[in-house]
Amino acid sequence: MIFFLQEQIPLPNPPISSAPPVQVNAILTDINPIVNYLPILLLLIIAISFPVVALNISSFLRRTVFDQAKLSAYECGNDPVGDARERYSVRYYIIAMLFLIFDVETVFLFPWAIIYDQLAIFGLIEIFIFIGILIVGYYYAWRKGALEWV
Amino acid sequence: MDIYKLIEWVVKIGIVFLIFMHALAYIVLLERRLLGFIQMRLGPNRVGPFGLLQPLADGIKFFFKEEIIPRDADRTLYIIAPVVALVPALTTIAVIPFGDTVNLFGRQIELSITRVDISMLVILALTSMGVYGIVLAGWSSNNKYSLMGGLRSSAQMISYELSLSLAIVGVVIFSGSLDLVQIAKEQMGTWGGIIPKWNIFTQPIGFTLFLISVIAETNRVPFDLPEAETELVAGFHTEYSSMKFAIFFIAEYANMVTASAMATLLFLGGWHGPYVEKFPLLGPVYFTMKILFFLVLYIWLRGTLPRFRYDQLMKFGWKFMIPVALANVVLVAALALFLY
Amino acid sequence: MQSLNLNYYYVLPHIILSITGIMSLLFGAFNKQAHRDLVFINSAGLITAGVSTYRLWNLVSSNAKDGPLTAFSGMVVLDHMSLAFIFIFLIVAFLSTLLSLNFLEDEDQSPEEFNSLLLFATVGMMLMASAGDMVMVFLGLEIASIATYVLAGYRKTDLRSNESALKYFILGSFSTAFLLYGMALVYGATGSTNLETISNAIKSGNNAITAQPMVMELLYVGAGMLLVGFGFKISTAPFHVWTPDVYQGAPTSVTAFMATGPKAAAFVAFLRIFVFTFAASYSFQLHTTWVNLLQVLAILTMIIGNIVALSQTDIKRVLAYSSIAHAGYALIGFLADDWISVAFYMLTYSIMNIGAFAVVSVMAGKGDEKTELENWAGMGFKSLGLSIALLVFMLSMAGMPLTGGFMGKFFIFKTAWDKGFHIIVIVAVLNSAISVYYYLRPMVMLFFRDENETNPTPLMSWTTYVTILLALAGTFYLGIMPGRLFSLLEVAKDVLVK
Repeated sequence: MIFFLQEQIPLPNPPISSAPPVQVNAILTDINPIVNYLPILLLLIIAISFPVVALNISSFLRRTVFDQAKLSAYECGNDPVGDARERYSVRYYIIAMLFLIFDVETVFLFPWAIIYDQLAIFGLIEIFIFIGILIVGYYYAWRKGALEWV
Repeated sequence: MDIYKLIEWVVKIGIVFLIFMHALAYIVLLERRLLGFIQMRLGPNRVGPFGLLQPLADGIKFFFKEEIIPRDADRTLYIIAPVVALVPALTTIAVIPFGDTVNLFGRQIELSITRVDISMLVILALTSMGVYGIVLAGWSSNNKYSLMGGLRSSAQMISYELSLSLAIVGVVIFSGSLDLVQIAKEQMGTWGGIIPKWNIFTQPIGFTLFLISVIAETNRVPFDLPEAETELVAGFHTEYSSMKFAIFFIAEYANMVTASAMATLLFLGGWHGPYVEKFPLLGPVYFTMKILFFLVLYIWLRGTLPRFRYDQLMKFGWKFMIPVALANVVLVAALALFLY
Repeated sequence: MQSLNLNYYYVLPHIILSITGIMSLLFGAFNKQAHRDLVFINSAGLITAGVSTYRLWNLVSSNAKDGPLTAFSGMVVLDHMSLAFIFIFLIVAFLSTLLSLNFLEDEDQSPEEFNSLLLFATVGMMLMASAGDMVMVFLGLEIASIATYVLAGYRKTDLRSNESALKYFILGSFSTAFLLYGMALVYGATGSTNLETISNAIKSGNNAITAQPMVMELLYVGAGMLLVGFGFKISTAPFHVWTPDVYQGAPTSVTAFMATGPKAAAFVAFLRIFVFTFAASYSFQLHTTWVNLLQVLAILTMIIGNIVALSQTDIKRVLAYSSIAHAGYALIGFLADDWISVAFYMLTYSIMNIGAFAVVSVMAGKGDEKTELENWAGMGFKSLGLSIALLVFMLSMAGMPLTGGFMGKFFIFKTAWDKGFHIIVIVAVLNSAISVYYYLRPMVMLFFRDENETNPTPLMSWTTYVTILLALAGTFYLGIMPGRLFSLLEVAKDVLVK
């Protein structure tokens, strides 16, 4: 029961990168590391322009003959009945809410996992409590039928 | 800023992007040929030797096909949707390392487009954006099948994203970093000269979880519910034709490649293999081979397995994957404590 | 070496209650119709938490000269004030648990959600009481508020309950935004969210991070925002409009809880930040400013609460406006920098209010149908005991001698008078005199109107009976023999003078 005693747990030391310093980026070490995100931006621009260009080229090449039947929504050959945007099952909302809870939990787990080697036994116990409380909520949702689909 | 660095980036982006796009085209061919063999037929073999020009023919066909936008569709969203689906799938390759640093043209060049210290998070963030394209496509088509497909797909993707990230947490505990290069480097070397120090051997549960979730994330068989041909008539892209359909198609395969690359980097040691320390250029070769292994696995699964029913899929995701993934995190944490 | 100082013993009451909440949630998931068992689980948890709080009280008393105990890097502060308020919350939660059994058995819903949410809200309130950091105040506030929003909408199919929950949620989030923005500005000015560091920064006039002179405008605007945010939470006059609607619509057992618990919690955080951190000994100017503002607010609150209550026809709305007026009285204790009288006042207020709402929940019948005073005509002799209990609670609220309400008001007015706030005390006394009118109106309805033959005699379960008895006992005990309790609190007075 060491955790109920009045104890002083030292803060973890600033993380020391176990990797040897990368000599490759000698050019980049003296500048802001945010610059490394620049290629992602470049690629993003290319990735956006690729479909845009492809769609535009295609629009010049293709021929288009429209008629009413062709433009109606596909419903196995019948005329479409009503609007498609109707009410749908509430279960999708429940899934979305459960997702939010667990996703936020995962977000908390990532930083914990990174400094886990410094937290050691304290980190393990804390995560047992954290996940334990989550499991209770999860179990309760299960028990109340939030995870059922039929 | 160093101008050479900029040039290096531009060149790397150009090369990787071109190779990636061609690879996507030929993965489609590979899939069709392999499926043909699995089903005791030949597959496309007419266009060029062994059908090697088939992707080109397909591409040209897509460009010339007539395009239909349904009358009641939300035009803007309908056009944006395929772009939204494709862009994150293509952008992820920016942070995927495919080899160690090599010495080329008198420069030390990293074999990845860029290296950021949270590349794992970048990939997770980008891949989870993909669901928007599918939801938008399903909603904007104003088709009942599409709406069903889009809803199912989003529910499925967010459900399996949880076990996916939880499986990754296990790896992060071992490597103590979110940098994919660092994660791959931690798996360097062997135990006793025989067994490589890959995470798959230390975390088999995590690997299985990751593989299953990633297949579900990419909407592939046996989790291809969103586009179940027989019940939903291709789901969210029922109404899509021509180039827009092709873009969804490319996005799906790009996601497959990204997923395979992630599996390789996290669990199969990335570019590591025999003699890679001496000849760093072997790295990309090993990396490609490992990715191919996963791609063939995808295709094999498609040729072999039937499809889940939707309630089975959700039940499996929520009632099996998540508890096991949570248990895996705790287990790995405990293991890491005793091992290190 | 910097230290986290993880002292789980200091938050033992919080931990016990959290575990109890989780346990009752699980217990309810396993068992159908577990209403009574849940009451026992909750009570056991609350009593255990009470015992551990008592032990902490002794610990704090024995360490009194070293100043308050802190843990978790100053996030948690334990002194007599936080523990006194924790006791109040535990009493409130205990009485609410007892009171709610009857209502839960009438409703066809999961009782474990109610019981565990009640406990979680209590944990949030306790965190607010023991917060040593603005972040902690905010966290506790959110834990308490979110649980209470859900409780207010517990009667899912009832429109009034839904309306109440929604109004409470929207205005609650609105006020929380004010509070958070105020915290951000105070942080911007002082460079810290830790209250002790903030008070030191205010005293020195320098930002804690940059060591430059702080921007006083930021501090003042931030303090103003905090004042508005807390004003919403404790429903002072310009910010009180949500109170009657929310109190009226929510199930009566829930109203009993949220009129007392979260309000007392807002008071303790308010005290912690304003009386302790923005104290005169740190910055005389800041202190004078908020004292002047609060004086105006208190007068407005008392007058509006009492005057509007005169014209109400619904008993729950009457009690809501009376609770607004009571917030005004309690604010007078702030002016005198005296947390002890405020704590004592909140204790008496909580007990008599829960008692009054308990009587209302019985008289209103199943589903809280009959809360209009007209419906009560001539019921007095049918249910004599209940009516007399209500009379006692109402007289106590009006401040009749021999009841707790009188002693609470007496202590507050006395300290304020001694500090020289004569006008506001006179206004408050006049207001108390006005309030007698509306407090006695239900009695007129009950005893001096023709009997309405259709009304059945209200039925009462034994837990409600016990609740009312306990509240009666508490009211009389605090009214007749407040000395022991007050001297116990009086010992703790040294905390303020660090």
